Amino acid sequence: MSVPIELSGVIKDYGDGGGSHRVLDGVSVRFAPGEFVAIVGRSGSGKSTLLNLLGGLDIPTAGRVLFGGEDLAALPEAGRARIRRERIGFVFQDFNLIPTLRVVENLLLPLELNGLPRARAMARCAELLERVGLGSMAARFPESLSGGEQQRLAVIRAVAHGPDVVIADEPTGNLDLDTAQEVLDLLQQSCGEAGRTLIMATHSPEVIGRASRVLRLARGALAEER
Amino acid sequence: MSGTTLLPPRLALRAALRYYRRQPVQLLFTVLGLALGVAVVIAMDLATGSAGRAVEASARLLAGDLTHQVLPAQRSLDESLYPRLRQELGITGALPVVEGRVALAGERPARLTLIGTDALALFARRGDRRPPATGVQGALAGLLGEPGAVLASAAAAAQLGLAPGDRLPLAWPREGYMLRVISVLPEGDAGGSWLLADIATAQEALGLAGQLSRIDLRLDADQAAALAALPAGDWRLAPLEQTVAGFDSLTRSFRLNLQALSLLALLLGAFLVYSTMVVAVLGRRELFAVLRSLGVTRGQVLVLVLVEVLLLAGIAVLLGVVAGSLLGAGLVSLVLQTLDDLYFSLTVDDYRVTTAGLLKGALLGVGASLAAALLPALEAVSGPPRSLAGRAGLERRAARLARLCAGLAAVAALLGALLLFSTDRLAVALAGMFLVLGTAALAVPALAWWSFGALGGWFAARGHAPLAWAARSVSARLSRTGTALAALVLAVASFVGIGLMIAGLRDSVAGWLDYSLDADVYLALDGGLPAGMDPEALADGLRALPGAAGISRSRRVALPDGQGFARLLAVDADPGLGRWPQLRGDPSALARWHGGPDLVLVSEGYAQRQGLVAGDRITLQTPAGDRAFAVAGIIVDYSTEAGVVALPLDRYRETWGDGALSSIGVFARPGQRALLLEAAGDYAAEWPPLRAGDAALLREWSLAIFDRTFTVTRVLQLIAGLVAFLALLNALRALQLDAGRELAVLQALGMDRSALTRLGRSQHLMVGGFAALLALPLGLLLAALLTGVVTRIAFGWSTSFVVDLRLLGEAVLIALAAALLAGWRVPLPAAPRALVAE
Repeated sequence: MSVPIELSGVIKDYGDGGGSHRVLDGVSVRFAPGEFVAIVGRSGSGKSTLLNLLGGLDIPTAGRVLFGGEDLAALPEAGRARIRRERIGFVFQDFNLIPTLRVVENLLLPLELNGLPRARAMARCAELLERVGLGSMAARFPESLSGGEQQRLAVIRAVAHGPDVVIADEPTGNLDLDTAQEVLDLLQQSCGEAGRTLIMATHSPEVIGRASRVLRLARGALAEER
Repeated sequence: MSGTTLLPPRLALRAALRYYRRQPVQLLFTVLGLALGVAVVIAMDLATGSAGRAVEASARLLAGDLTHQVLPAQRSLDESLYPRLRQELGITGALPVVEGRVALAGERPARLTLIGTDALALFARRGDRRPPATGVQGALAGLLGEPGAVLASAAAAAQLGLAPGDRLPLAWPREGYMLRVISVLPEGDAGGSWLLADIATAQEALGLAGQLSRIDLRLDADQAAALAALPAGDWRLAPLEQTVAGFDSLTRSFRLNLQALSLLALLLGAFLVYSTMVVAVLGRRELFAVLRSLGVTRGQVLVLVLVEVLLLAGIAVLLGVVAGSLLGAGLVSLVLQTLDDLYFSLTVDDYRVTTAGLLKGALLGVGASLAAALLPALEAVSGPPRSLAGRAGLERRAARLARLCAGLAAVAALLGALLLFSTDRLAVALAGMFLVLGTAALAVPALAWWSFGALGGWFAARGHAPLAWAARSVSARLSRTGTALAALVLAVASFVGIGLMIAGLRDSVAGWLDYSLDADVYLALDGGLPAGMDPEALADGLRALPGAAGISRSRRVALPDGQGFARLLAVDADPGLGRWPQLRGDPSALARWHGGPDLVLVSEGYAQRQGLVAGDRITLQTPAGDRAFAVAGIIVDYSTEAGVVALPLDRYRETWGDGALSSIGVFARPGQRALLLEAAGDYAAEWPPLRAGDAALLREWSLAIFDRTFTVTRVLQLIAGLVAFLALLNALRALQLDAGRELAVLQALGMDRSALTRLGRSQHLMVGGFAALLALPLGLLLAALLTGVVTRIAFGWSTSFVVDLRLLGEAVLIALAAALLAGWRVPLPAAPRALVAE
């Protein structure tokens, strides 16, 4: 069952030795279960930073990131790893598949991490791969796949273990229009069916058009656009 | 759930390990580097352990239940002393020993120790020491019944495949003499490869008729006092613990040096492993970040890296153990040969791979690789996993760390210098030397960051943008290149430093030989004078040889100081002839020494051991009682570590009443060397047991012994060269790992493949050149410390500092050759399309 995510007064600074740079400045926002939110903004506006905080990949300099009521910043690293493992799925612009694992193994990994019995995990992988047309490529390594195929694999890896939330960082940024549309369909369908929250950073008008809510990030602040 | 344990998921481990399948060169470097480190540690441990056991076994064999030894004041004892001790003094616990090396001829060419003793007395002694081993008593009795009969130790029998009845013809010292094995002793008797014979057989086989090497004694306090009270003759009484301690102190410096070398080898191996692991781990930061984004914990990633290291280390340790055992076998024989050449005839030829030695090598190998992997692994999992593929932060941290290390290097350098120049203890000096090496290693990354940054700026200012990229990408990848460059610089510096130390020592020994073997022909008189000839008649006979300009005479005996390791050397030469001695310091000391009645020259080694400087006084035992001599000056002498005290021959004869000579050197008139050599040979043949030797051959032989002594060191030098080569390849691989995208940009901007290859090779040459530039001065410094401080403290010898240009050239060549080899095939992107995903 999906859970609400809430950012409250979140500040994020980055230091580079010569001083610090504020990327997020007191961001507060709530994501309701099952909604599809697009986050837009200029390059460098802090979209990826916001997603990293939402997914527990980073912690804020100040403020709280509440995931189903649990403050990610207050959790130890192992606690955040548990939430990432069980309740979140990530899709990245550069796919971030593991080049040394075969297609099916990339898909098996989150299931293994969540302790799914091998037979069930294999059955689930086969079903997902067939669904996205990668069934015949299960034994190949990701580098032999096209960009669209790699991103489709990344999407099913993100949802394979049944997370509450899928966080996608410009997932169509590296793809042509047709392929981007296919991936977008897959993402929306995978999340919509299960009622899971989809939060996506994007520049794409297509995505913005499909999202149930659009937030704009500018000068460290988040504003409701639609 | 797998995520809640520290065990990494199976698939994560598979993903990590498959990296090596895709990077076989990386795998090869890792395993090779580690195996090399382990092999060297095991080999050095074998060598030092065997040396230690050899000394111990010799001492044990000497001591047994004995309390004292009668040792010759000169070369050997007259055998008539043995019955005198038994009959006149009633000492029943006495065992005469003749001992020497023999070379076997025929199907089993080998060198063994032949020990001759009174079989009857040994028979009696064994009976009261322990229950007789089966058959041993009978075999001992058998020695008496047959000339040439020997018992073979279990080790000798195993080594040479000996069985009772085998015949062993000698090649040396008495060619053609036939020994026959009558029995093989069971294991458990004193270890090592040796043959035991009755005294008469041994004397005959060794050409020592009527002579003994020593007499072992078991004395009670009264007997010891009575014997000590006898007037000194051509023998002296030595308590056993003194002999054993002397053995130990004599070889301690040598063994400590071996241990220092093995530590240096370990340091080089560990650096190589570390730099390899840095490349291997940091090259997979993206993988680790993806795993962590999927929920793998930091601890699991850490365990994953360590499991991977353990697997690699396991393979490498196996290879290292095999290679180390093989290398060790070679080193053991070299070390034992060195001890045999330099110190004493060892009674064991010991080569034993111990479980403890193997375990030490394996643990050090695994430990070093775990420690080496831990830091980069911690680096890879430190902080949040947000930085998927982001390297800028890592490089910023690496540059900061490099600057911090450079600061630490300054402190370490200061500490190292303080240790080196404020001590006369070898262990402390070695610690100082390692600190200096550590300093260099710490400073290298910062120097690389600065140098390549500056070089990049220099190229950019002259409009060479691609070369600027090539230089700056070295400093921009400091997290990967830093430690590889440090390993490289350290290894090349060790190669240079060790090589220059050997060159310096060799140069010093060669210079000393020029002074000591200053005549053209030498006649050894160790076997005694020809019947009916006195020393003066012999001297006159030699002066009259065709082509002879004159002679020098010398007498060399054990220094009568009760310890028996230092030598007393008495020398004279006909007027105007001879270069001996090589003075250290005040040149007027020689004139004073010739003129003053109670003046001696002492060698550097003796002066250092006794804490003497010119003007100090030493007391020597003379037939007329103790007598004080003043030290006129210090001379160079590398003949013995224990040192030499020298005085003019006439003063020696007058003081000790010994008219014998050890050798006579004959000087040739200009252009008449060949004539003199021939005449001296004929003269010696006419007057047995004289033996004539060509000084040039003696010099060659002495240098051959030197070279054999330092073969162990040379092996390490070669290993350092190999490590340097691997480290450079490693550094260059680190550069290439993720340069593909940047190369693709350059290609997209219009550079063709051959231009890119040239650019890659230029970058490699810059790295090789940087390493050589930094390593040469560091190698020179290391050599200066090894020769100027460590050798002086270890042996008391001051040696010359030789800048061997050939060696320096070799070091540069190693660096540049590895650079060119790694750059032979610069991995280029297939096409500029590498820039985009599709």
